[in-house]
Amino acid sequence: MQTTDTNLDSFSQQVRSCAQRVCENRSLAIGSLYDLTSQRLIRFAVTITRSQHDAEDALHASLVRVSETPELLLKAQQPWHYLLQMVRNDALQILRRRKPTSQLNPMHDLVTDCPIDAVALAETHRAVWKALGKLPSEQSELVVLKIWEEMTFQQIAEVLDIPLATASSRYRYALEKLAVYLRQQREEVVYE
Amino acid sequence: MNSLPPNHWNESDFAELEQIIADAKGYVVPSADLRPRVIDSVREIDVQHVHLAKLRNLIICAVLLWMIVMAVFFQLSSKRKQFTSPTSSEVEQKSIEYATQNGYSKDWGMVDVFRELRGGNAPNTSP
Repeated sequence: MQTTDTNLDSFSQQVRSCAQRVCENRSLAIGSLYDLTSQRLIRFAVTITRSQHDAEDALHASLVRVSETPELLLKAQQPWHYLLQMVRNDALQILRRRKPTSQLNPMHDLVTDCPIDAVALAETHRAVWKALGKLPSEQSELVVLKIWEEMTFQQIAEVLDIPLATASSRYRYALEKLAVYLRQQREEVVYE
Repeated sequence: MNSLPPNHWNESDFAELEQIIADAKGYVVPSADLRPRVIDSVREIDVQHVHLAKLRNLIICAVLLWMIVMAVFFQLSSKRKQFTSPTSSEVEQKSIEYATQNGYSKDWGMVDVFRELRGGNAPNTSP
């Protein structure tokens, strides 16, 4: 369903504009779509796959598919939400194909952006990511969409295809569990 | 880990927890080689699409050519009799028929047969 640009949030407008450029010149414009979305997509995919490698595979697959059929993004009501759904689907497919043993150590291969003067802060961030890795993916992806993507529960419900009440309650439950995990991690650090 | 939530967790701490999580959003980044990998894959697909387009055009040309050749072949086949000459035995046979019908010799019958083949209507030229 095609919508007017007034209904789009600004990031979706940027994604649509990139998709338009991909239509015109696939291999040149895919770089700009990557630059625009990769950081946000990778953190979303990592919370589903719990592995940087698998998340990158999911992102790779989604962007290549966008390059083949950019019309999908152009015609989407909210291109950014549609792209998130694509990455989510690819991440879930990879999860289904993955061997169960590879999930023993979640979030073990993350590529991080940690400046040397922010090592202490990075420790907190690492703790957050580890805690996210302990959540079931249906909860962690909700936290990502709500906090990092700043989506409303209505938008999250549409992206994840779940009822609004489920999105809200699942988010609440996820935060409670995150609080427990983070507290446990802090205690582990104190004991060490 | 000083900024982690307190031990006694309550409702008002959710905002703090959300802030802690929000601050960690830039921690994980794509690896350096992902961008070139994506672009290379897209370029490969571009090349494949060009090859596929060439193959498709080639197939279309081949089918068109085949259709034209077949049309010409059937057209020529329908007019085959116009282009084929009778065999010597057929000429012989026909000359005997002319000779018998018109009461002249077989040689004159042969003359009429060849005249007919040249486009005439086998006029009776016998003596």
